[in-house]
Amino acid sequence: MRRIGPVILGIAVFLFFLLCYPFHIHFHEQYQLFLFSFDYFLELAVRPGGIAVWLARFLTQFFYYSWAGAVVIALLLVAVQQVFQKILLSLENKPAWIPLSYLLPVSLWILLLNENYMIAAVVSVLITLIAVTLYPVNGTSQRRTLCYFLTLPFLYWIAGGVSILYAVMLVIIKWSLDRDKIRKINLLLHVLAALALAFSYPLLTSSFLQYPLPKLILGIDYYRYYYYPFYFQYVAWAVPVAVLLIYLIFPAGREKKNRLLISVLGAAMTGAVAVAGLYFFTDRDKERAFAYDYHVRTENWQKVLKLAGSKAPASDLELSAVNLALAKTGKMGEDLFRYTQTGVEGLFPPYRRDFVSPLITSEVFFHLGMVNSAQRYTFDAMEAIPDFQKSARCYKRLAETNLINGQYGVAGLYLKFLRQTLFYAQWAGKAQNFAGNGERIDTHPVWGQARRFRYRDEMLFSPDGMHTMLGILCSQNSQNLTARDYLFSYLLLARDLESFVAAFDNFSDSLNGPIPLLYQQALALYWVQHHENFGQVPWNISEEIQTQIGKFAASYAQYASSNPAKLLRKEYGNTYWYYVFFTKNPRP
Amino acid sequence: MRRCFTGFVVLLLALACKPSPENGTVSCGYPSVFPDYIGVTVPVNIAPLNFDVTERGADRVMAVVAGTNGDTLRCSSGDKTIRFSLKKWSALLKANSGDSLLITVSVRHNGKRIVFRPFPVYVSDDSIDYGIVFRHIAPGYEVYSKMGIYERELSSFRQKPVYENTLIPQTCVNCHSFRQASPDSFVLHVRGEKGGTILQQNGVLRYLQTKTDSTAGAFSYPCWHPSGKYIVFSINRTFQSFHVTREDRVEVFDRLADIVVYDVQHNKVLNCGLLTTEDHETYPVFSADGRMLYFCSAPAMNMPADYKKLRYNLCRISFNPQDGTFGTETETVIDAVALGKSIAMPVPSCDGRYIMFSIMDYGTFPINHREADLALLNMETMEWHIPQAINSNDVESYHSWSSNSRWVVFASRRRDGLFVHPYFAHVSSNGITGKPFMLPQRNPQQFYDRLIYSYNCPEFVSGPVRLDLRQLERKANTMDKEQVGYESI
Repeated sequence: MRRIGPVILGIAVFLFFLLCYPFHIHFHEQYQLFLFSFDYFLELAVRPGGIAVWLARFLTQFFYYSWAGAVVIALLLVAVQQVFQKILLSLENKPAWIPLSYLLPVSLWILLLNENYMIAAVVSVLITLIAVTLYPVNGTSQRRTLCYFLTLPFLYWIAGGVSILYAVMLVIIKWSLDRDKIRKINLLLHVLAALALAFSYPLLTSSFLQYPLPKLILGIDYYRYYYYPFYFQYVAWAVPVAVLLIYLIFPAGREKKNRLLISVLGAAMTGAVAVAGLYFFTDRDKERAFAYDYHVRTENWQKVLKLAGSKAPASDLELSAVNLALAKTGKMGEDLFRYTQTGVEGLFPPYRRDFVSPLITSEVFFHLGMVNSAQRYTFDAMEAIPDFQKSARCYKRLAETNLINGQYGVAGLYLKFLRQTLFYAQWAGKAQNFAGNGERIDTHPVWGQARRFRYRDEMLFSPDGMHTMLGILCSQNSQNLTARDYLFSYLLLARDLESFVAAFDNFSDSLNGPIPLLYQQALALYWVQHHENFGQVPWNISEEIQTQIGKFAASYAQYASSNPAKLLRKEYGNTYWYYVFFTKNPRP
Repeated sequence: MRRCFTGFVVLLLALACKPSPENGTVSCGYPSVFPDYIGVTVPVNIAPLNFDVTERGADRVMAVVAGTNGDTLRCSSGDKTIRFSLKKWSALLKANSGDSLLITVSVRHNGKRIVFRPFPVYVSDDSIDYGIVFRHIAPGYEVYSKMGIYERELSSFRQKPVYENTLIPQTCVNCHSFRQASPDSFVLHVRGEKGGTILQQNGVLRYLQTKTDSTAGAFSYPCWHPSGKYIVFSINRTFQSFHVTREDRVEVFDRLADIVVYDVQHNKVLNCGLLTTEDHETYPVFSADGRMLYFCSAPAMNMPADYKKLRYNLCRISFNPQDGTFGTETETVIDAVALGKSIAMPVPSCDGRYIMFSIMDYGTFPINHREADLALLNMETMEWHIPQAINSNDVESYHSWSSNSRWVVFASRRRDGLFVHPYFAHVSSNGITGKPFMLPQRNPQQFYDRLIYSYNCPEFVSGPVRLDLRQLERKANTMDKEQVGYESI
């Protein structure tokens, strides 16, 4: 059990994160910027817990690859279990209870299901447990006391608020070792002094660091929203304390069958906690949302569409990712309504001041050629990161937008930082060669195109006038097919047929081949609203569409008094007509 | 005559290319250094002007600073950064106060030594205040991350936080203002759910709720009355819009702007009808003698559609500090609208002789306008001009006068067009401005290359700012705010 247990744990954790939660791993990586520089280290080291944070962020950079992130997490949790096991066995030899030592890594595993629970929290717990192993359990009382007093301030500075766990565990250990040797009152005084010392360091720190005192006591960097009291994380701190107490209080089991029973029950309990925790706290919806974001970021449009095909997009953000994928694969005119559309918010989700939602929208802007808007959304998303970290993903995009806009000095700043990273340095080095060379940027497949597509004339961004803004992009450059498809889709989703027809007449020259299905449906609808038949229709609307709209109208009339939405969904649910008449969403 | 002139020119050239005492190739040009300290005017008590030699290929740099008395200060470096000893630098400046220094830079390049033409640094005997207080904030759009108010001592490189928004989470701070640079009287706004206005005077900290039932919003841009009895504030409803072309990023405008005066002793707002009209009245400041209130005014417009037509004049109204009453009419001091310009942020010098203000093509927020410049209004002649010495091709904006009225600090984006840095310029008693210099740093290139924050609203301060942070934290967390009263005049 002692050999095979850690292996099982490691493999289970690895497989879970690799297969079930890979995009949570990417989520962590993209919201940090680990720099190989002394300044970066110093910036973290000057606050309690900062060194553990530095170590954690060093490890988190490897989350660039989800398999590497899964390995890191697995190794961390196995290390936690092994060190905790070592602590227990160094006190008393009760191997029957060792399965309970797995409760701690399992608790941390469950906490890690929340994408805002930071790797720094796990690293800090590990460091604290390692510090506990340094306690000389076989030494004299004086030596042990000295060890405690010397270790605690360093531990507080290295690992932060979790050093309280160290204090509590050592209090328990001291009680266990000395309860028969010294008077209870002396023991109590020792304990009180130890705990008082544990609280004194945060108090001292509060005189020169500007953080709320509760944060200095309980830890600053363990949860991404540093100001939010994520109380659940302290359950994980209570677990080793509880296990330690159980371990020390309860007997080892004299008979083999008793020991086996203890082990089996311990393992069963741990397993039950693991299964229940994973079942109830695995957030599949967020994993999907992060998957969308990752695939958009890596421009893997087919994977975006595959996600949408397996389960309908659950939010405007996911829908905007799908719509972008449709545009980039040239399928917007055909497949827009294969996915349930919610209006124009599915193209441009409303702006929210958080660190997640603006990023997908910034991607949409970037691909449209709205470079300044892409820059703004990216910058604001990064500024909204609750633990004040910078983002490698955002720095990369900001370097690009500034290169495109000719702001080479600013681009150089971002590239300089990215060259201090492990996984972005090469890209940044290549990008730096473009700085200052507008002609070379013009030849870049992405940046050159963005330069050609971006706005030329001064105006202010108008969230209420997106169709006008899209129209200007189309007028400026007929090669901007994404803008063309977005303009058409915007007007269709807004149910503004008049404007759609006008836009279509202006910008449909760039359509290659037959008119896409949805545009034919819209044109047909427009035509029949103003004419009796298709005799003089100026667009090439297929016979099939002409027939189908007639059938739709007839069916609508037939079922008008019952439930036409339900009755017509099967045959017409993917059509524009169904959207116009039956989809409830606010008009812009 | 011609021969004399030619001889004179030859002599000048010979002097300009005078070789250093040691062997080396002499360059007739100035060295390329960052920051550009060539020909700047500095105060006698400024921190060392450490600089980086940015000449290509240089692998060892040396600098000799020579005073007119023959005293010198030498420095050499293997990493291109010239760092002067603080103690020796201070002594050298004191010995050359009112005079100038010559800095000779030489570099080693491919084994050869190149000596550049010495460049002057003029040492004014006008001292500068103890320090500046500013906000560090990323040059963003609508969202802020970590930010804070910091104090930097100008005779050294010491910098310390006054307030950081990690103390009271999810807050933003701005509009720090001192009474004639005194750290004993200052205000600071904290925005957010637990926000309020910090007013500290003579060691007493008050946390104010400044929104009243009779005013349109909480206090915004402040200015102390020289007596310390009043603070004038604007009340603004500010909105942002965003440019889509590469040249500009943000456009800030007000949907509402009024001015009120806060009576510090009686904790009440004094409202003058002439300053709370349908027009936008903003950026109020008291004159140095406290008898006049200057402000910017523009008619309300259909925003954001008419954003390019929004232009502000510089106006004023008299103020009676005895009873807190105002004059019966406002007066236009500079009709910027007639010139097709807009004025913002007027700031009178402490001696009352000048007002420095921002001028731009339109709008109300100069930091977002590349064309924004600083202008100087002479209060005796009522004539104004744009001093070319302190302006650049990029934005110059927020400015503050030192307590002796001989120095201004202002914010500029001239380095890269994005990040705002503080520059200092000497202003003589007759309004002549010297070449500005960037805030000195111990390792300037490394510092500014890595800095991801802008210096926002640099204000001179004559001593360290002491703010009881834990008291502030308690008041904010318990919402222990003092409600401001209201009185209409």
